[in-house]
Amino acid sequence: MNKRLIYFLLSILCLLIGVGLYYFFKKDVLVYESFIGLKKMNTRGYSFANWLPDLCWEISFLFMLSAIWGNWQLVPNSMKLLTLAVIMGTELVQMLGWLPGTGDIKDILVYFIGFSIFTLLFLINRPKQNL
Amino acid sequence: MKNWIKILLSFVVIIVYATMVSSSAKKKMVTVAKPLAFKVPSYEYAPPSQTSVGSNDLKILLLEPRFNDKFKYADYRTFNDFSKFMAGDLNESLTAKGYTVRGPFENYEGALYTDKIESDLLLNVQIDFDLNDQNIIWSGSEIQVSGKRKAAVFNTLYKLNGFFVLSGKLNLSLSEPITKEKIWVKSIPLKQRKINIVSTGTYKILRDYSAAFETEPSFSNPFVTTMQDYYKEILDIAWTNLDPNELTSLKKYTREIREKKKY
Repeated sequence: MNKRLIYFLLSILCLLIGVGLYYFFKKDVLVYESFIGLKKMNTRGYSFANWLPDLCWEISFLFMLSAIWGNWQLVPNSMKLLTLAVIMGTELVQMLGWLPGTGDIKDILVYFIGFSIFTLLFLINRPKQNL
Repeated sequence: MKNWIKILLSFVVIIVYATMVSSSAKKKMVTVAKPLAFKVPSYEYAPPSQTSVGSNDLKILLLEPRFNDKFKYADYRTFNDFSKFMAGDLNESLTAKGYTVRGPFENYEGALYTDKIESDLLLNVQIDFDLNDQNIIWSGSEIQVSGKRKAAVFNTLYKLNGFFVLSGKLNLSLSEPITKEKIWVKSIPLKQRKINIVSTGTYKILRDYSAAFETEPSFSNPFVTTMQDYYKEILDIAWTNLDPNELTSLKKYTREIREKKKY
């Protein structure tokens, strides 16, 4: 199967996992859930629902970029840097209160680890340049 | 795929991601504060003990308790209800003490001649309240209502804040029912109470609380709470002081007065 399509499908899968985790394991109604009219009756929330869905979305984001460029290794370094800046930045601006949500240094760490593992995995399976 | 398309798509993905992350924040629940409602007073009293009705040979003509004439807020619901409910509970307390009660009558004129002649004593309950507003601070601001410059007309609107001190005494008196000749009088001081007011309204007349009582629950409600405390205190005092052993001995004075006045 075309690698781009695999990355695209993985991206959608990670995105849906994130949405599902938020829906089933987070007690609070989120802004996007309220916007699309999702109703939930969770009586309790789980602590992993504070960071795991965002991590899934981060991976989804990275897979989507991989799908666009053909492979994560082919994504220009400037774009990778921008990606990392956006991932960290959203959390930082939440910490500063400029964006809704709760910014957390732990989340930043999780995203950084996720980003690093993703990059390392692609380093191991280095693609041919003329792919 | 051309490079510029990839870059464009990457930016789109970045924007979508940033939007998703920011929309995964907890939705703020907008709670609209309910407007404060007027508190309905709950005046209740249960007599501490019960004896059989008419167990002592004393018939009491009961009038509704009234506030002293100087207390100008007596007609407002908080206070009006207070005296109405108290009339009923006084009746219940007197009956529980074994008295036979006629009434409560709204006023003396409301009682029939037969009620008066067949009663041994007339019970008058007067609540002598003193509402001290020295600690209520009124701050005024001038509002232009019409005209301009020299022809401008201003009205002063006041805001108030602070606390009242409510104190007073309970005056109990027993009289001969026909002549209203006083036989027995007791005046018992009531505990002083502080009533904190958090007012948001604006008022036109300085040191006049009529409008505040009628329109502002945050002004009126603290009074309800205080009056509920007074209610129990007053009825406890009445219960202790209207002792059948003491009052039965007064019956002879009623007979004496009636003989002298030819009733």
